[in-house]
Amino acid sequence: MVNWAVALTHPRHALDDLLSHPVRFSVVALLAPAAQIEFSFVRDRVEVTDSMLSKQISLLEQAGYLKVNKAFIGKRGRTWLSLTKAGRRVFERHLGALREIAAGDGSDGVAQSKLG
Amino acid sequence: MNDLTPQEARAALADAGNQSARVRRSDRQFRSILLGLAATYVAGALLVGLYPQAGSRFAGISLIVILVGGFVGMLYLLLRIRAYSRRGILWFTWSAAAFSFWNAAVIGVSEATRWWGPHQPGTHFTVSAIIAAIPLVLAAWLIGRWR
Repeated sequence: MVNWAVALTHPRHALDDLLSHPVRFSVVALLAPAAQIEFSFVRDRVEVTDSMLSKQISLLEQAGYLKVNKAFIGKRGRTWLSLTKAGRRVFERHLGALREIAAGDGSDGVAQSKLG
Repeated sequence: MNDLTPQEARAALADAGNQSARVRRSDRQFRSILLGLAATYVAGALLVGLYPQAGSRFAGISLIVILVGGFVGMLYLLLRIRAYSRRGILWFTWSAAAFSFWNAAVIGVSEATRWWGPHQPGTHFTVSAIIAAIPLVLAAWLIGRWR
């Protein structure tokens, strides 16, 4: 009898498909060390349009990686974003896989970069 | 889709590092607020120490200007915050809690021992305010060191 089960040991298998998109990765990387970040701050730092960011945030929110809170001061609304525990866990695993891949050619200089 | 080269992985890690540094830099807003609170409190206490008991018109008006100015300034800075880290808000909260705890302890002990009254010199209030400002300045210094 042949055992078809194959152990997936390559670090790429630990990469998260949703975080493979560069904008979504940057958004989550920005949110990872933060308690909360306002929408406009993320937009300015990631350098995307409002509509593009809204679209990516919706996808991350649907996946359960991100929480959206709306707060009002007077009539002015502010949208705050934060990572969920699940989002943080997925990002850490994704980063670990990236570090392994980055170290794949024997160089680990950037892979050891200080995060968070 | 996920077949990244080591170079691409390193670029992604560098991007993550940059994004993380941006959040740490934005925490420096807490430093301004903490230093503003410490400066306002110590300046007010200095006035009370210099003009104890009945005080003077100059001291009264100056105290109001310092307190209102400090309050408005801090409110402005608080409303301008657009990002903060968990570490930043933790240091801010703990230093503000230590500041409040010291003030509550001084007021409580002074009231309980009937030591705090108009017949007492005002300098003890100034000294107490300087001690209360220490956790605020310490937290501001630590936050300012983050890179």
